[in-house]
Amino acid sequence: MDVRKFLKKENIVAVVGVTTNPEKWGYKVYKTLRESFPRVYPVNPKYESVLGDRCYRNLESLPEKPDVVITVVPPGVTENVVKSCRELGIGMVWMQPGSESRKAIEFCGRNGIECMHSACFVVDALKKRFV
Amino acid sequence: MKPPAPDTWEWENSALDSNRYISVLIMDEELKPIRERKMKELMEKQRFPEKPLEIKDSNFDETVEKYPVVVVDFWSEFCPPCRMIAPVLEELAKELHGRVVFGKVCVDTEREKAMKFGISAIPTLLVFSKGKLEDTIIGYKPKDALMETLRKHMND
Repeated sequence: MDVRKFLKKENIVAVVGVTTNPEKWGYKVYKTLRESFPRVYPVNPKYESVLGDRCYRNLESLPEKPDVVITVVPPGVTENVVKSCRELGIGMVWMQPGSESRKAIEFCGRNGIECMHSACFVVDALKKRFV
Repeated sequence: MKPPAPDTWEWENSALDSNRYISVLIMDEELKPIRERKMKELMEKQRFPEKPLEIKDSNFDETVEKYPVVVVDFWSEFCPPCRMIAPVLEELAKELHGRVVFGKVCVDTEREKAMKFGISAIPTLLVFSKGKLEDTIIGYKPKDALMETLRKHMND
């Protein structure tokens, strides 16, 4: 699997599990990605907005179909997220450490969704930024 | 009369023992290359580090070319799976001492090689054999899985 295709600049990215707490991973991941990617959407039904951006309830309510979904949620929630990905025809899921679930990984395998897990992503090497 | 020292006695008094002495000499000749090889292996092994080396951009090339098989771990202290894989690599460095050398490149400070090899996820392990990149392992993997990949590159 070519990991780099997950992090192409032109990708539309959705981060599921974004939070407003700067200490939390869900905040750091979103903040880093929105500085590096032109089109990143935060998803969490608990918030109206995150970092001044409109926050969406779920993947279904996004204004456009993302190419990549990044999960920063408990493993049980990831299992539902991957089901939505199949329904919406989203082909790439990156489960951030802590959000991976064997069941969800296997689901991705069975449904032709490329799945990254047990790894953190490094973005924008030129700007020396990573999460 | 005081008996001679056992060696002298054997040498002087027994044809059988003389033969044995000769056969020992022959054996010694045969053993010489084995002994030399073992000694060389031992010295080589001592030259190999038993712990993962801290590799910088500046000494990266020289390090991967110095040893037959080198596994380089691109990591960051902020990455949980990197912290998980670190003790596994330390164990492997001990177990495969003399055969595989392990190194670590911190992507927080060393960017050049991370960019050169297009590191997009950490941990990423690059496996070099005779200085050439032969394999890439992305993300945390348990010890058995790592060993399986590394076996392909070890000359047994």
